Amino acid sequence: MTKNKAAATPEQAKASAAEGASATPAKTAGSAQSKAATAAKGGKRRSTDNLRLVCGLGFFVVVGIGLTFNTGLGTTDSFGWQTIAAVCPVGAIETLLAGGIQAPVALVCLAITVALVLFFGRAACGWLCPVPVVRRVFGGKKAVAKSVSDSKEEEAACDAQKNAAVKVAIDDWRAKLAVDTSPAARAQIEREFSAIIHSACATPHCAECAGHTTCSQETMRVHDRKNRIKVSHYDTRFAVLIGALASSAIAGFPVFCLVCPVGLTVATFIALWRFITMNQGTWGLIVMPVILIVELVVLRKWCHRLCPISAFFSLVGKGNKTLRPTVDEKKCLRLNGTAVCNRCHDVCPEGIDLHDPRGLVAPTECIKCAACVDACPESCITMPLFPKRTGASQATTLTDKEEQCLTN
Amino acid sequence: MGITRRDFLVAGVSAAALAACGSTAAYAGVGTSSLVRPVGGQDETAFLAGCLRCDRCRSVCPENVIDLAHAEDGFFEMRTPKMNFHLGACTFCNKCVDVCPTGALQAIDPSRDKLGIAEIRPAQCVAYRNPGSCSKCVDVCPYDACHIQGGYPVIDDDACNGCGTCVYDCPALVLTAVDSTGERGVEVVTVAEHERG
Repeated sequence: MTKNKAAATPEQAKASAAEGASATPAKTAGSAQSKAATAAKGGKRRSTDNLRLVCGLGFFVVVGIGLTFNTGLGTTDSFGWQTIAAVCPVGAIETLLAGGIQAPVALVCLAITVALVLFFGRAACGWLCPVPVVRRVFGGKKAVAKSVSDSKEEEAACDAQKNAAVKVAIDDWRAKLAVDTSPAARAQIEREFSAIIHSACATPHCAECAGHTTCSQETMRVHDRKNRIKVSHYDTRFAVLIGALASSAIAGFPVFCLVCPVGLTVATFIALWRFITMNQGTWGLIVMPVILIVELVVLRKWCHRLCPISAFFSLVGKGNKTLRPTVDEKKCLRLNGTAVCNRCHDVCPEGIDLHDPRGLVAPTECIKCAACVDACPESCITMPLFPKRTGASQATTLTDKEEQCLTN
Repeated sequence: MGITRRDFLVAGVSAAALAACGSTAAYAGVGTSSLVRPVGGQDETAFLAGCLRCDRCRSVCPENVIDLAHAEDGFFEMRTPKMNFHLGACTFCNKCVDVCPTGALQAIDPSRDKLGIAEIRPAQCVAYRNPGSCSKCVDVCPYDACHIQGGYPVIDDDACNGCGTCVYDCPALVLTAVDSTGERGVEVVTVAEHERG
């Protein structure tokens, strides 16, 4: 519970900060303000990412405090205060199926977890899970980029390059705006800017788009839909989830917990701690890291293809309405037809396309990492606590003209 | 609907791997280990079915008596809590029961139920080398389950509930650099193992 608060706080702070930033009328701001906005943008990109790392590492600190002071706060598998705790949902269902439950406590803890997932979506994947932390600490940036889904791999490769180009363009744009603020000059500067942004950001979705400096919003969306491969939202993770539950029911104990990388990471940490403080040597210090290495290095797409916990979060997270990244369609370069900007889609570790909620990956797969909020050159993505009604419908429906194009 | 051959293979292999893991465990005899479990985890089969290996009971224990089963205790038991009376003794404070998120641990009545039963190990016991020289276990037992008979300590099986105070205070084999698996002059074993002899 306590830990979850810590997880929620930076997230909410992030969302509100993002809201604050987007509320600043960047285009009409004076030079001082726009400079501040640019500075904030440069710093912000790092901060959310680092905040997530700190949050993930923070959990190890909590485990360490528990090891030293007997707090009983728990680990990622189950954390809370006294009897009231969240519990790993997959583990809890496994124990229920294995038939070992005499007390309703597992159901209560499971209900608490489901409530948390409904409110925070898959935030646990982005903020609490030690697996990305382990990847980041031991595997470096490369491993993180490698772990993203198939379709994102190439895009991730040229990500840094694009980042730099966009940043230069924005700085240039702000500087020019600060010098000349007449409407005519502003219009001219904005045209130039969108051309730069376009050339830097555009990952042409198809041959049709590639040749154009600016594609209309309609054309782009039509091309997007045309070239998109329809994939079921129920991927291999769900097969693993079913396998985990079924094998537990048959074997009579939670089978997946044996090999769960989340549990093994924490257990390795605990074993190391006890080895150092209590001289307690065990073969587990070798066995557990070996299983972890197999799971995270050999099967490097663990999170997206195999993790049943992530599958459960996705399933329950479909009901999540809060803290969802929302695009301000008037400001979004892509949706207002200024440029084929794809920054938010590029940086999203889950491959969600915010411009098209009906796309390849459902928006409910969001892990609330706020990478899109940081990456957006227009700061037009926010993560409001509650969804806003206005303008949300536009992106979800295609116009008649687009539908017509699609059928042709 | 876009389920590729590769997806199908991944799903099949992982489900098969989990099934293999589960059935191996069943054949290897999960639920027959002789680990002394924390309060209310004495029915080994029910305990293993409910235990998530979340570490909360180990973490909350004020006596540090709860330890985690190591790889040496069996792969399928690894990370589950076990009593290590070399580190402390159980006071039946029930904190581990309170924090267990799945009810794998249940409150018990220490005057009636047992964690295990203490057994004297004559090979290590100081009193067995020199009768009458040591009565530490008799002095510390909170349940009056240990007596001296003819200079040797004897455990009263009915009175002993396996709290482990005698083990914790036993002076035999305490000076080891590494937390060894070696035995002290008195050790607590599960009721089932005690009955097997």
